Amino acid sequence: MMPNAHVEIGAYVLDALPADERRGFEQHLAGCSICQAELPGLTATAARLGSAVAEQPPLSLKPRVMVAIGSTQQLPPIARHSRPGPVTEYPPTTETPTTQQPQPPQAYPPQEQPPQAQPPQGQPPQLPDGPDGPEVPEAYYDAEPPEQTYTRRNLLGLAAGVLAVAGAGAVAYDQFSDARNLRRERDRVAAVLNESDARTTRKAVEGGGRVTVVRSRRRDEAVVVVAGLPAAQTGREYQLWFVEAAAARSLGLLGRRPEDTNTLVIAGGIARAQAFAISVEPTGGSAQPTTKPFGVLPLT
Amino acid sequence: MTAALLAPEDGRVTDGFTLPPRTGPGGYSPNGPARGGGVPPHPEAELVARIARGDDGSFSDLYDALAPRVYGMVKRVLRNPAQSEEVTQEVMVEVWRSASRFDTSRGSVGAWAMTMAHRRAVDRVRSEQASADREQAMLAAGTMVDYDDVSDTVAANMEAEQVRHCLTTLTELQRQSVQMAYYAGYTYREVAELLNANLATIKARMRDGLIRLRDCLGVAG
Repeated sequence: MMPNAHVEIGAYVLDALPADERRGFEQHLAGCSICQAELPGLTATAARLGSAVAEQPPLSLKPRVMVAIGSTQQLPPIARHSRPGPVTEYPPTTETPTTQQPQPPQAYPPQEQPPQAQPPQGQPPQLPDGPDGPEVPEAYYDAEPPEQTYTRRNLLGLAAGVLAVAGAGAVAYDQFSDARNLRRERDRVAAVLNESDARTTRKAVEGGGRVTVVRSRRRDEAVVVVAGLPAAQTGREYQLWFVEAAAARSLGLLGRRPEDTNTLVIAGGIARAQAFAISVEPTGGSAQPTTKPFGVLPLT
Repeated sequence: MTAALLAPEDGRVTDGFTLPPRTGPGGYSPNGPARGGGVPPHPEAELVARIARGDDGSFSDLYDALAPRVYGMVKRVLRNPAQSEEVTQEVMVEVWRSASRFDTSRGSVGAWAMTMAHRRAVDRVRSEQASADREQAMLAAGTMVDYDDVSDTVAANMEAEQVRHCLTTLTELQRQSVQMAYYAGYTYREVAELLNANLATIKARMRDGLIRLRDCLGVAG
């Protein structure tokens, strides 16, 4: 006899659950491996129902869509992360900051510079009591890497993937994208670390993991390293924030793959930041934290 | 500036649905049977990877591949051509906006786009249309696949034929439940009321109807 919750997967995939029941099923789904295993096949089947009635839209639609995307900002790629062990393209930790690694140019089409973004309009950050902090599966602790000291060299070694925030906007890099930008970001990391007023703060994160912030007021920039967080639940991602006076400013999202446990972030606008924090958000992130932030590291 | 510098986070959450969690090796491949790990990326996934870096040429190609499926399905649900164009545009713009969030291990690009599209179409039909229109849509859903449907490619006709055939392998209640939900946007409660069946039964028929369709169509997963 099938328990009630599982049987809803059909209605869910067909969008036949009313909104409140849909949310209820998604909560069930987050913890149900049977449903998670079944979902992709049924989703693909429903999509086939749609494909069966395909029809060419009016020709005038495409130009309108192309115009619309021209003024639509894209979500940046999720932060890519350092991986323990050798990374083929980028130098290991023994590399000094100024070494340039020759890379073949990536064959991207040239892109226009996107317009500078405005920061999200602020309301005071909501800090409601949300769900409990991230689950910490027991197996994770067995696999946890030994305590690392974030020496300057180590931090540079982690620059295999970088999420950068400059001023009000967020800029993200795919790990394997233009190598010139990666080198530029490594130089930025080095610049922060080499500033005479660079200050380092470290904190253990409740529930597992560590945050390290190296900041320079002179450069108004900080390097943030988040390491060793347990994997977020299905449908959830960790989002990183600088908490400012009026609102929280997103620094980006951690990736969801099991190997994505470290993140290096270069963040600007450190003068306005009162604290660094992490929150659990739905996949895709939120404009402001919707759950109680944790790993809060005061910066004032 | 390079392609790697993308527009800043605009603070909006991606479309509200939950992407299916990642599968093991051998996820759905519309071009053939499932294969084990190490499958080369599907061409559409490659397009999405480029789109994520701002490549509007790749987006143009993906539009050509996806828009007929999206538009055709949305129009079947909404019945109104102008609204259907609007929703199609919203979906394609969302594909552009959230291309970086597409995860190929979670399913195909087509399934991703169609899932977003169907959710939007259904939400719209529930909020806007009178029940009379929806009843008409339900009747239309009963004759879902016409051989006279305007479909511009042979592949599309074969797709329609295969789905039509597989729907005939369902029981009456399975087929009606699935069609009324998918093509007319009824909730399971409304389906239960219209078919004079019990709520738990309709939920179960939706699930086992989809499973039977899945197996007949040869969808992996």
